[in-house]
Amino acid sequence: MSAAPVTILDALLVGGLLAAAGLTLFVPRRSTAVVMFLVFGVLLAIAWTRLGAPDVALAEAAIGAGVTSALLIDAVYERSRRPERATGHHRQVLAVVGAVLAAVLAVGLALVLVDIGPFTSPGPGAADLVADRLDESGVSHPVTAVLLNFRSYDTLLEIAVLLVAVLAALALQPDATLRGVPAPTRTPDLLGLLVRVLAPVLVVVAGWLLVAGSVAPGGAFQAGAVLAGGLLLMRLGGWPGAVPASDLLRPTLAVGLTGFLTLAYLTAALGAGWLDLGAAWAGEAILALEALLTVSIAMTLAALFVANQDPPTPPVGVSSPERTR
Amino acid sequence: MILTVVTVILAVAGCFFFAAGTVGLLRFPDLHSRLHAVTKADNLGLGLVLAALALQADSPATALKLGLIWALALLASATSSHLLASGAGDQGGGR
Repeated sequence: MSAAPVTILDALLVGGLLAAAGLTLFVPRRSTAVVMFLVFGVLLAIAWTRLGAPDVALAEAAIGAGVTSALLIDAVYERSRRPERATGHHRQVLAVVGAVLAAVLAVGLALVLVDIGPFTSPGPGAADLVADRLDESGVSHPVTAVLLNFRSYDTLLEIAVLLVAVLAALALQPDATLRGVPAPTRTPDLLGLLVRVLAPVLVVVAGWLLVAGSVAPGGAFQAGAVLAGGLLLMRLGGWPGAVPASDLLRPTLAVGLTGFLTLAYLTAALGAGWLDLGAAWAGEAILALEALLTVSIAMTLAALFVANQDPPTPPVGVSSPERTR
Repeated sequence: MILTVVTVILAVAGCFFFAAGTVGLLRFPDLHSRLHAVTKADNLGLGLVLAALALQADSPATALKLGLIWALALLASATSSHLLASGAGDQGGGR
């Protein structure tokens, strides 16, 4: 990418980013901090666009600003209705532990900075290498080629981390499903209308982002985040089945990693080696894998959001066998 | 030439309405009048800015996409401000 000249808008953008970051950390009210975090995410997405990285910008806007802020807003709102659990003593211990960990991290980072030495130009990087061998990847968009072919181990591990995170969130539920979380009972008419109009649009946009990932910015993570927003809207708008509570939930969460591992084993058993995609069919394999990943990522993000809501205490009308033991 | 002049007029008018909506958000005393300021002025401002961009678009498809963005933003802002207003009414907040 040729570097665009730095304009006054870029300077304003950087100033705005720093201001938003500072406000996020230092405003006393949590709800204000969350809104500032949302603003920070939007500005960061614009900054990535200015830096010529539309893929990162899309992911930042959808996941960093959108989904994360929704989770934080939900957490602040639920927290304010919940009695404080940690007692005074516990809070002090937690504060000391946090301060010690932060100090260790700061010293470690300082040592790394000293070790790296003064900033030097990063050099050409791997961009030329990727461009030279793009033909072998099966896709024509370099970012997708790196994520799903040249460095697919990284993506495999990211998907595994996502699965572990959502399993941990589910493990905190009374019966390790979302059955204990009450579905929204009352849907305002206007929200129902909005969902009926927006849900198909979001599904189409997600599908387009998924397919476009082969030739242009887009891909499974962006499509999954958009689809997750659609699923949550549907749940809030009177279709609680959009995020299934138990039976369909786990297969949907696991299908991405399962598909990735299946592809890995198949390439190891039949092909050239672990995740070594043959150029002849790599395009089809990547698109199929990304479709599965989109479903899993969408359901993971939506399930994390739903699991973040408090289960009713005590659970009413929910039979949980573990509880009677 | 005429196209450029119209574009500039539309964009400046859009910015004016955005600024007016923001002033309203900051200066009005309660939730309902703030919502009124933001939704009305910002929707119009966004429409004018997008119309300015659509005049400069290199293809009709791009102009149509900008129109679609405006329609979706109208829908979302109308619904969310309605939800905010009725939510505040439920809790006896607002006025």
